[in-house]
Amino acid sequence: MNGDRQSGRPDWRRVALGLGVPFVAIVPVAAFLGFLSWTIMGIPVILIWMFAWFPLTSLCLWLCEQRS
Amino acid sequence: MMAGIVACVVLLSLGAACLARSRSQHLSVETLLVADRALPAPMLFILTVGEIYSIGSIVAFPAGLYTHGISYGYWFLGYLLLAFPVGYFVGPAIWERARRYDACTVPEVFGRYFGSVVFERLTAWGCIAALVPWGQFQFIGLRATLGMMGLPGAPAAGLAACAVIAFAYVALGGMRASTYVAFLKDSLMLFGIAAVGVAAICAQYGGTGTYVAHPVVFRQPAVTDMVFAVSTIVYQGVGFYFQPSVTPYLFTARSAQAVRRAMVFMPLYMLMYPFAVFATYFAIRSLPPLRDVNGVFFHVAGMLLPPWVVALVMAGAVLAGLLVLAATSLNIAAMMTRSIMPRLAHGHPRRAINLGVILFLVLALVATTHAPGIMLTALNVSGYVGIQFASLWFVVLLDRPVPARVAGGGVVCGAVTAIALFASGLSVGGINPGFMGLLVNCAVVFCPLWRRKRVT
Repeated sequence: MNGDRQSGRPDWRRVALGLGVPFVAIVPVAAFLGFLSWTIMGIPVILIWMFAWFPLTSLCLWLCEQRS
Repeated sequence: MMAGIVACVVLLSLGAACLARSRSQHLSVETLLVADRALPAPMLFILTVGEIYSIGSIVAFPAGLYTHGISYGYWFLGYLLLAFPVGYFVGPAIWERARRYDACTVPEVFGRYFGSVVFERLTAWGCIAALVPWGQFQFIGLRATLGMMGLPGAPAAGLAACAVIAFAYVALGGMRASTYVAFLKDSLMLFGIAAVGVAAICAQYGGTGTYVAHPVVFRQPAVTDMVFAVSTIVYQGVGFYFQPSVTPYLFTARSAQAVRRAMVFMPLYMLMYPFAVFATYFAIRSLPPLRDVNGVFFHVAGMLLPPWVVALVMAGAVLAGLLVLAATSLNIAAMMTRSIMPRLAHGHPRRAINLGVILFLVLALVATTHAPGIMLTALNVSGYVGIQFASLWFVVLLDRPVPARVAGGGVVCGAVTAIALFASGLSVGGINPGFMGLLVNCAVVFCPLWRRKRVT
């Protein structure tokens, strides 16, 4: 849909970086962390993980933008 | 004092809307609905975050986290965070289709792609059905906020004033006015959430010792809670930009590149949520159990901050509700006048849109005052219906030869499946009913293509 604009084919490396990496972090990894009872300053580790992925998701998208 | 500060902020927002009007050389229907497709990436960012982070960020998120615990927080943050990478890849394509079909509304894209006025009209009705509860939800949030400001005596009058202000935003400058007001609203909301969060962190970890500590923490999730959360994150995260309440904001962008650039920075706006989590954690650990959980954030703010700061937080919440209300009513009125009753708008399209906005605001106001209980159920149902339009977008974006009746049948089957599962309380392993509906929807739309491919 928004891949290699010259050839019209999707650039799968960009899709993996911009969509695949955040998806893996947000869905399977975070879901696993949800069952852990660890906390940091009283906040469950799953929420801390999600907080970390706010800037990291932007970073992934920024790197995608640089590649386009 | 609180009401005075909120009134001043609302007046300031009207000033911002007037500024938007004065900066527009003309006020055509395109200006009103899609800001002449001229918003650069920073303004698109402000408009979109202004509309996405509604009053729910201050009211519903802390309340849900307080009541339902970790799984709620994970779901809420997860679907929003996943929506932006999806939006980065599909958003530019959606913008390009809207420009190709010269569409100002979502049903216009569908109607022109499938080449059917009847289909456009039917999808317009479907979009309106999904949007009305969302608009009314803003009224409920506004009523709760007005009540917390100590103005519960005349809720109808307060809500009527809100309706007038929302109409003023629309009439003054449509989407462009919303962008200017969104800047003010976002500033207040970020300031308010950060202020409450920092105060909660200082009180919790600063060792003031003035609050009684309860041995209660966030509720741990069961397996079914996490299955629901994960399926909801995938369903809502993937479908977010396909919802009729969100898609039209993409149409306002200057270019596909502006959409992509705005998406890159969207997740950073979520950095306000850690502060909301800390405020909620403070409420759970250090305050006695609250009766009105919807007011948990304001309760913490009231305990820890001076009244003028609380007033600014309230003002941010009020502006958030007004902004989404204005944009939703504009969206509904546009579909009414352009897709459902185009003859009525002939000759005077702007006047017809303004009348549509007034009609929606009055009806929503009456419904909110008389049947708030039904409305919350309707909001749930609208959440299950809205994302079903994703299958139509898949067809449009992938340019697949699907007949309009099959595509429409898929949306209807998906919506009926989701609503039936929700209404019957039948659980399929804890999976979100909307997700099940979308699977059925896509199967109806795309399976005939696969079969045809195999036969040929």
